[in-house]
Amino acid sequence: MKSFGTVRATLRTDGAVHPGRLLGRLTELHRLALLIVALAAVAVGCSGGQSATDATSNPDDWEAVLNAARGQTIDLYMWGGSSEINRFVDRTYGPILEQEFGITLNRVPVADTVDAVNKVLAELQAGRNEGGSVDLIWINGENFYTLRQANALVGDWALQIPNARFVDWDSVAVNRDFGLAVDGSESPLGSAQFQFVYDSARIDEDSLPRSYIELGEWIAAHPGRFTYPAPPAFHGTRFVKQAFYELTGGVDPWLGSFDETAFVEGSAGLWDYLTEINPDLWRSGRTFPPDIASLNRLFANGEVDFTFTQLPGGIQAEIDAGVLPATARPFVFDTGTIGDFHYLAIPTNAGDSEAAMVLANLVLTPTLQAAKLDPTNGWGDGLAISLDLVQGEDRIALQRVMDNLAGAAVSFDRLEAVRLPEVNQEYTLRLEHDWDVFIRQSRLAG
Amino acid sequence: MTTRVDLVGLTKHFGSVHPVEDFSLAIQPGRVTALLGPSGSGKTTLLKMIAGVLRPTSGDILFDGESVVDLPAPERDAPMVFHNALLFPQLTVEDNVGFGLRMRKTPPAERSGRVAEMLELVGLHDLRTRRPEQLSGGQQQRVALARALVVSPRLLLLDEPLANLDPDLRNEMRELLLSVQRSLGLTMLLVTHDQEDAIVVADHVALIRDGSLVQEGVARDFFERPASAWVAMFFGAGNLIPGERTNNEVVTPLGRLRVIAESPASGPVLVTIRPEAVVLDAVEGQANTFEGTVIAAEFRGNHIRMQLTAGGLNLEATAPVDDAKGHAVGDTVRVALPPDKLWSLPAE
Amino acid sequence: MALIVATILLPLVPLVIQSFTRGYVFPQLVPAEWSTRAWSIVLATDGGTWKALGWSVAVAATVTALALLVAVPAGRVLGLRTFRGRRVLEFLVLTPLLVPAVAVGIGLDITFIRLGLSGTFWGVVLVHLIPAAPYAVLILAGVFANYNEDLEVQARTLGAGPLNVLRHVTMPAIMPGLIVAGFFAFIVSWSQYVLTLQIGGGKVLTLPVLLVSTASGGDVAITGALTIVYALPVLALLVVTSHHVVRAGLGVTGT
Repeated sequence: MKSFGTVRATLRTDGAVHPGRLLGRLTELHRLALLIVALAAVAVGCSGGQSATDATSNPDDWEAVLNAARGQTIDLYMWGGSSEINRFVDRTYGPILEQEFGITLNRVPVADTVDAVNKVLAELQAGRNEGGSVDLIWINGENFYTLRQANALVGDWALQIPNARFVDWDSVAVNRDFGLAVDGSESPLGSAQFQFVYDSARIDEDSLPRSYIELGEWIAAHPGRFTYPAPPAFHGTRFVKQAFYELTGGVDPWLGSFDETAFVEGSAGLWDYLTEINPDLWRSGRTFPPDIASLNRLFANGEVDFTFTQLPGGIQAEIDAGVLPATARPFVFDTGTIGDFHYLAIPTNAGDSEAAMVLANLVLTPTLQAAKLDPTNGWGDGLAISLDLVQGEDRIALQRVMDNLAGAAVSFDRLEAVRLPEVNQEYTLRLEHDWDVFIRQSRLAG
Repeated sequence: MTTRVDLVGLTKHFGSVHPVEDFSLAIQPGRVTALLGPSGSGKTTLLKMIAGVLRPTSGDILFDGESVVDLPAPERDAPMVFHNALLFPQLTVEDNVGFGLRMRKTPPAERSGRVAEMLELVGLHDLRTRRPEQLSGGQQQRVALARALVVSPRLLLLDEPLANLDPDLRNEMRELLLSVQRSLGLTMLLVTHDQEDAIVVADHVALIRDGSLVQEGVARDFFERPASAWVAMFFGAGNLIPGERTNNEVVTPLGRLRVIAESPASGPVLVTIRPEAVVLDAVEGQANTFEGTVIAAEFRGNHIRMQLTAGGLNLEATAPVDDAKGHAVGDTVRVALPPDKLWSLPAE
Repeated sequence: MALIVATILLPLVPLVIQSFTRGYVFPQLVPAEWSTRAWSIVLATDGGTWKALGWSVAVAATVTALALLVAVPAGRVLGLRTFRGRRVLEFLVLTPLLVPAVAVGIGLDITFIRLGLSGTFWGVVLVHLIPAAPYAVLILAGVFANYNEDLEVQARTLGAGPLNVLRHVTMPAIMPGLIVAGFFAFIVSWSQYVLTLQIGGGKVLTLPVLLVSTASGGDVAITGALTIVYALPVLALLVVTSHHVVRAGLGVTGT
C-alpha cells in the first residue's frame, strides 16, 4: 500500500519550525541544490588568488631579468611525441636552469602545438592578460603566424637577449617565419631541413631518385611503394611545395608577394604531376597517411620505400628508438629541399616571462646547440646559431660534432648546398587548399 | 509496560491532500485495538504519526498523558511491524531481532539473552543464524514481530501484519499475536483493512473512513449496531430497507416493522438486518412477517445464500446447507425479520 | 570470474609485446629485437609518467567522491519521488551525456579562465563532474527506484538515529549501486582527454593527456608501455568490482 503518507515519509515540510531543525526541514531537492552550489563555491574558492605578475622585464637589463626569473617556473609547451626530445629537454636544460638560475622547468607535452596556441588565445579572449598558463611555446610557421597576428606574442626581446649575438638575424630564413617578419617576437631554437629517408638494405643508393621528375619515374616503376602525408600535415605540405618549386623552375619566382595569375599558371604543372603519380601511390592514392608518424610506420613495416625527416643531425635517434630500421638513411634531391628554423615564443600574458627569456637564451649557448645537434643525445636538431658567429673553443666543439655525425645523416655541406627557403605563406595556404581540391577530392570523385 | 495512548484531534495535511482529519481515539493499556478501514482511509498515515516518523499538522499524541509529538521516532519506543516484514537483509535472524537493543547500547550479554527469549516466544530459536532470504514469508513476519517485541515497547504498531500471508499462516500469526499479547500484556495497535483480522485479534475496534473515526467499540457492535449505513455495508449487513420511523415502528415497503428501541434516528431511516438473522419460514404469530419470493440460491459451503424479493425490494438471507424444506428459486416463502435484530439508521 | 579477468587482460597482450620491442614491424609475428628501453623511459622518475599517474588518481578519486556525494541525494530524489518537473530534471541530468565534450569544453574554457579555475586541479575536477556525475546519478536513481524507504522507517521506530539508519540500512542497501556508480564515475574521469586538455591546459597533466601527446610521436613501444600504465589501474579496479559491475550489467543491482 503506497499511500501518500509513505511517499512523503521522510519529508518534514510542515508544522511549526523547531530551533535547530531548520536544515532538516528543507526538502531533499533544496538540500541537493545547496550541495551543488556549495561544491561550486569550494571549487572557485580553492582556485582563487591567481598571483599577478609584474610587467615583463626589459631584456636590455639582463641582470634584472635573471633576478626576476629566480624562483619562477617556466611552463614550456611543446609537442610531446618524442620521448627522446622530451628527455633531452628535461635532462639538459632542466638541471642547468635549476642549479644556475634557480628556475624550475615544467615541460608541458601537447599532442599538437595548436593546442597551446588555442590555450593562449582563449585566455586572452577571457581577459586573462597576465599570469597566463603558457610561458614559452616551441613554435613556427602557421602557429607563429596565428599568435603574431593576434598580437599575442611579446615582441623585440629575442634580438636583445645576450646569446642573440650567435644568431644570424640578417638571414631571411631566420628573420621571417611563414612570410611574416619575426621582429624579435620569437627566438630560434634550432633548424630543420626536409630530407627523404630510404632503407639501404632494400634500395641501392645509386638507384635513388634525385629529383621530383626522377621520383615520378621511380613511382611508375614501383607502383604502391610511395606515399606522402596529406597536406596540411607539415611534411605533406612541404613535399608538395618542393615539387612546386622544382616543376616551376625553382624558388626564385615565388620569393615576392603572392601573385595569383603566376600561381595558377605555374601550379598547373604541379597538379598534373601529382595527378599522374597518384594512381601508382600506396593504396592507389585513394588514401594518404595523416601524419609523419603514420608514414614512418608504413616505412618501418615495409609497406612503402620512403619516408621523410626534418632532422639535420640525422635519424640516428629515431633508429635508436626503433621508429626507423637500423639501415634507414636520409638523402636529399639535387633540386633542393626546404630548410627553416623553429623558435621559442613568449605569449604576452605569460606569468613567468623572465624565466622564459632565460631558457630561450640558454638554448642558444653554442655547447648546448652542439649537444642538441648530436643525435646520440636523442635529438639531432639543426643549429639555430650560425657557426660563423661562434669563436674559439665553442666553435671547435661545434665543428667536431658536425664532423662526427653518425652515418645516418646527410653531410652539412650537402644540406646547405641544396637548401631552399620558405616562401610567402599565401602560397603555402593556396597549395594546401588546391591540393585538397585537385588531388584529394578528385580522387574521391574518381 | 502497559501504556495508555490518547490521540487528540490528530490531523495531517499534505498540501491539499488531507489523509487524517481531526482523529481522536483512546487506546486502552494492555489491550489490542484495531484500526480498521478500507485502503486509502489514512490508517498508515495515522500509524506513522504515532510512531513518530510523520509529524502531525495539528493535534496531539499522549503516551500515559504526556505529549510525545516532539519526541523523535527512535525515542518513542513504539516500533512498527510492517506487512512485508522488512528484515535487514545483511543481518542474521539473531542480529535482526537484536537490532533495537543494539541501538539502545544494551550490553551484549543481556542482549543475547533477550533475543533468545523473544526467538523462543515466536518459535524461531532454531533459525537464529539464518539470513532473511532463507526464511519463508511467515517466518520473516515472526522475526519482525520478535524484533519489535525485544525492545519492550510501550506500544506495538502493527501495519497490516497479516496481509501478505496465506490463510493457514494467517491463522497461525493471529494466534501468535494473541498469545504474545496474553503473555506480555502489551498495548497494541493493529492496522488492518480486513474486518475478520480486527474481530479475531482486537479487543476494541476503531473504524476509520477518509481520515476520520466513524465508529468504535467491540466487534459485535459493528454488526448489530452500526453507526451508519456505510458501517453496515462495510460489515456486510446486506439488507437496507428504507422507511419512516415513528417510535419503535418503521413504515416500509414491506409493511410496518418493529425495530430495536434504542437504535438511533427517527423520521426517514434505513432499517438493517444481517442476512443470517432473516427467518425464512416464519411461524404464525411472529412479528414483522411478509411474503417473499426466492430469486436466487447459491451454495456457499457452510450455508446457502438466498436472494429474495418482497415489496419491490431485494433481501439477502441464509439457509442451512441441510435445509429440509429445500427452498428453490421461484418458491414463495414467509419471511420474518425478528424485531430484536432490526436496527434503524439515519437515512443518508 | 576467471573468464572476466581473461577477457579484460587479453587485449593487453599485444601491448605488452609491443612495449618490450624495438622497431617491431607489422608482418613479424615474433619481434626481432626485445628491449626494455621503452619501459625504462616510461618508468623513469623524471619522465612525467608518475606525476601524470598521480594527477589521474587524485582527479579521478576526487571526482568519484564528489559525484557520489551529488548522486546519492539526487538519485534518491529521482528514484523515489514523484514531483512536478521531474521529467525536466531527468532530462537535465542527461544533457551532459548528449552534448559532445568538445562543445562543453570550448564553452566552459573561457568561463573557467575568468573564474581562475582553468589550469587548476579543482577546475579539472569540476569539468570532469559534468560527464561523470550524470552516470552516477542515473545508476543511483535506478538503485533507489527499487529501494523501500519503509526499511528506514522500520529502523527509526526500533531506535536508530539518522547515522545508524545510514550505516545499517541505507548504505548496505545501496552499496552495490554505490560501487558501480563510483566505478563508472572513476572511469569517466580517468578517460577524459578533451576536457582535461581544455581546462587543465597541460598544468593538470593526467595520463590520457600524456598518452595522446606521446602517441603523436608514433613510437609504438613507448606508447604501448604508457597505455599499459594507463589501463592497469582501471583493470585492477574492474577486477575488484567486476562482481558488482556484471550484476549491474544484468540489471539486478540494488535491493
